Amino acid sequence: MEHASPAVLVLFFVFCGLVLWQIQRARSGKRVFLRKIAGLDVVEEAVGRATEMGRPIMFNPGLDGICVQLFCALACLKYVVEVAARVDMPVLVPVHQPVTYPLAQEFWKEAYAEAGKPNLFRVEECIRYLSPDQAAFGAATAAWIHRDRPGANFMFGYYGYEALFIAESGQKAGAIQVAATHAYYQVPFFIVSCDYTVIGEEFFAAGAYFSRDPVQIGSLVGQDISKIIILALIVVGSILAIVLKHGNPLALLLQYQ
Amino acid sequence: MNKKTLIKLLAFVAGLYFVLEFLLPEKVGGDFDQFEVRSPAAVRLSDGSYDVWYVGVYRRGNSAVGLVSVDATRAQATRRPEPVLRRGVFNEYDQKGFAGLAAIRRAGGFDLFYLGRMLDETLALCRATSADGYEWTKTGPVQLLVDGSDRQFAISPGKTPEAGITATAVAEVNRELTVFVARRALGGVNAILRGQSRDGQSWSLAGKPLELEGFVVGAETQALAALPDDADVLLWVKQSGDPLRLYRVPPDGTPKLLGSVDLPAEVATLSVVREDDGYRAWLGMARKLDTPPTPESSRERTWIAQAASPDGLDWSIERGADQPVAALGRMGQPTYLSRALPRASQSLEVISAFALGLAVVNLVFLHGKKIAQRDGTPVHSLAFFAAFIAMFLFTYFGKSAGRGGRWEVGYNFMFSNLQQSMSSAVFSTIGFFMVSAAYRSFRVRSLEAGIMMLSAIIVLLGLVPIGEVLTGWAPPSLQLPAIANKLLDLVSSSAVRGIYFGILIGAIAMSLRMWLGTDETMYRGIDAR
Repeated sequence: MEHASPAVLVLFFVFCGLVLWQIQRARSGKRVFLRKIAGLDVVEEAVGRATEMGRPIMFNPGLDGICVQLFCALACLKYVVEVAARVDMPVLVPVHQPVTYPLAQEFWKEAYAEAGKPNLFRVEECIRYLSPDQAAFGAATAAWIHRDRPGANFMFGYYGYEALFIAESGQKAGAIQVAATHAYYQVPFFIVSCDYTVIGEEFFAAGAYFSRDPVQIGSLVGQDISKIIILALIVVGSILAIVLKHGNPLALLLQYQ
Repeated sequence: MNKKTLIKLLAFVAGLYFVLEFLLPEKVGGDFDQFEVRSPAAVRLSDGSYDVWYVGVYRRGNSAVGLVSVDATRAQATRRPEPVLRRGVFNEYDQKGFAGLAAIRRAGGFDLFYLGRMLDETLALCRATSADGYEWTKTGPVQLLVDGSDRQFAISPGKTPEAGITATAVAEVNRELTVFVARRALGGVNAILRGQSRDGQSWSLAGKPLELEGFVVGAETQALAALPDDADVLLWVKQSGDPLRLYRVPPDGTPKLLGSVDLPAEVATLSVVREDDGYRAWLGMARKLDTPPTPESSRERTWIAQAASPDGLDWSIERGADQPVAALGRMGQPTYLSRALPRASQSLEVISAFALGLAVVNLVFLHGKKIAQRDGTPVHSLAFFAAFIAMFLFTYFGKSAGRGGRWEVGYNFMFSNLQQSMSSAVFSTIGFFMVSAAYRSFRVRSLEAGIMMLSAIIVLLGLVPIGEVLTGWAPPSLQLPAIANKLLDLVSSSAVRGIYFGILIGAIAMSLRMWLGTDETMYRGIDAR
């Protein structure tokens, strides 16, 4: 396990303090503006399109085991299922990790139950544990897409090379596809094969975006302030590094002219 | 207290453990050499004892140079090792720490030559001086100049980690410092260069690379050690996978091979000192491990051993062959809490084993029921039983001690020939998906798509030889490889780092919410009663 260096120690408390402070402010009723994120706005439209086509909806929570990213993906799953439950549509969930299965089941069932339709679909048919092997999981999900031809395909979470299998299969099935991932190496693959891609921290903002929960929204503001601090540190650090190494940066610039 | 509150409290306590483990400063239980000791450089003092400097690795691969004084007769440390040379913060040549060391005792004190590990992991030959071996002054990178011109010879590391320096040794002959440097160049070409200096400040390259009998230009030079012998230098050279060779290197003329000897495969570096009745070597040993000894350390265990030889070739490893010498090589605990980490991991393994057993029982019941009731497609359930039973039997009997034979052949067939081959086949199909995805995305329909297309073409051409051929006429900074590198190093990596910052802060914020129980996502479905 890694340990905090003094600088990280300070930043850790600063970031945590900011997040908690902003959560407190949001709880006390302070209104917060959330910019639009196209990839998250399109969820209802994608579900609507799948409904019109009479095709199911697929939600893939990725390869994550139990971690914050998985819970982030599951919060999005719940929202998608809620929207689908309004129009009596099934949400199919391929599962990669054994530990994800009961959690996905719980979120899935709760969303249908909250919509007043707890027995609309059989959970065993909609949520399937496929394989912990990446290749087998990718192939099985692709096969499932080819068989059931979902009208909307959501991929929220961490992915490896199987991302392209799933996304390209969805593309061939004619599904409207939304990907949200914190695995930045997979971002290019999602961009080229999905209709909408939610990148990096926007994935963590999805829960707040859907739920409008003041705790999550306040946390988002804290994250943004933390990013501004990091940006400022990078700029100041770069200037200091140049000055300490080369002396006057203006002289350095003149030297190149 | 209701069930939900109890679970939140338990989660808080578990989270607190990890937060405290993270926040505790590393010095609480560890030290500058807590994970690895390597690359010894020894000097014999007038009282017969030794000063041994070595590279200690502590955190995220960062390192410092430590000093231990060792009593010759007992081969034990006479005082606690301590860090004497820390990595630089602003100097670019040893920001990541240190690699191969070579030390020499001179009239005014000690000179230490080290390979400074730069941020991009390339190595630069640097020098530091000290009067007592404890307080060091860095004099910066050593640049071997050709004929006194200001053109820097290839002694400075190249842009890529493939090119650079792998080992160094130093000797003083006739009051002139001679430094030997093993250089690794692109294309697997290796050579040993010799630099000379009177004052240690200005260096000149002495002739061409050494022409050593038996030296393999395609093999990496792991270790060098040098000792003066009249006007010549005795040079020990150890190349990867080759025996240790000893050469006599005259000031001019061709080096002569004195002999070679096989050393244990673990020997990675060495430093040799002359004794009254022969030679003593300090060996940096490295062994690959199946599992790292601590979560932070690499899959390599490194330690330092001693060896003695009457002639410089016939080495017998005395101490440290299996155990670290004296106080060197302590594998310290990072913090007090870290001691509990293996136990926590073991308890998780026990729980996982129970969960696995439960899952097997469930699967058997589920598929058994499907076959009995002819529900859906029982052929899938039959396939499950066939694969499950066959793999279980072949693995159990094929991998059990004292068995093997046909069972092992069956196991290898099922695992290596079937399962892994099928996995590889699925993986290889990704190429076709890439082509279809690239075809769609490379249709230039917008300004963004156009920029992406242009960048892709530049990077693709810049990373293959044809890019260099096409733009060979242009100034170096405008050639395709240079532009491709700029795109990857500056534009792409900056964007990726920006995304990474956002991801990490998002993860911290969400973890914090869950840890403190303010985010209910994790506790969904738990009865509040």
